[in-house]
Amino acid sequence: MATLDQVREVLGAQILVGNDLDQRPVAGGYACDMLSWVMSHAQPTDVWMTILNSINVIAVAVLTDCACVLLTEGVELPPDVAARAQDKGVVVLGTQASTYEASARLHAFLNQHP
Amino acid sequence: MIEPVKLEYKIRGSDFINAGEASSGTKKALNRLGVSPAAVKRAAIAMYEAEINAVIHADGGEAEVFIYSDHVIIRIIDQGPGIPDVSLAMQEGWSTAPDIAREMGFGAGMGLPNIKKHSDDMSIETEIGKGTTVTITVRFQV
Repeated sequence: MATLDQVREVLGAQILVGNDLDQRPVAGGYACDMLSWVMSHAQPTDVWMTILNSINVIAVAVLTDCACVLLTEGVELPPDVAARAQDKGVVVLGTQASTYEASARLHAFLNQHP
Repeated sequence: MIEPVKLEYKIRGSDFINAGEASSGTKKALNRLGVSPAAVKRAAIAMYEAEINAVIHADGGEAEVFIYSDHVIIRIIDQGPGIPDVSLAMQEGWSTAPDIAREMGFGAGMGLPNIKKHSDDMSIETEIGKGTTVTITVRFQV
């Protein structure tokens, strides 16, 4: 299975919070900005792509145990949210790519590395 | 009869920063007790939605959790404005949440429907001007 470390490299994403990315398996992705929807649909091996950067994103990441949060469109991570992510062991990555572009790249990569 | 494990939490109003503490604490407790991951997830999601509702609509409240051997009962109690029309509030997409909640990714009218979806039983007792209590039951066996 692909690791988050490989996925980060393919996406050209930056690590905003987190370590040991090579220990986290990735099997899919989930793209959504509505938290209620993400809670019920995101899977533990998903990269969750979103433009939301509020503190609740970390709570939802903890609830779903997703592999990481990927902030798209160059959205920045506020310091208090970063601190919460660190505290809860949530990996947050960042990219300039849109959610659509990041999803497409992730999908192509995971198809070749099932 | 075996006494249930009881957990209690304060939910502070308009506090989006600590919203989720009650449900993540409950999630941890259920995990420690060896409850199946699927049931833990359902309980945590239902509870988080109810917790967020109390933060958004009712200036906070309290959470009581009773963990039995085969199910958990979660009660979110607030002294907020009450729900004038419960059947309307249960409809997906119906929302009275303020813009601040929407900006944070909530307020899409998914909260109560999501609680129903992830629980085995859900009941709402509400009185205008007095408050609302949402009681959620999640069974551990499918």
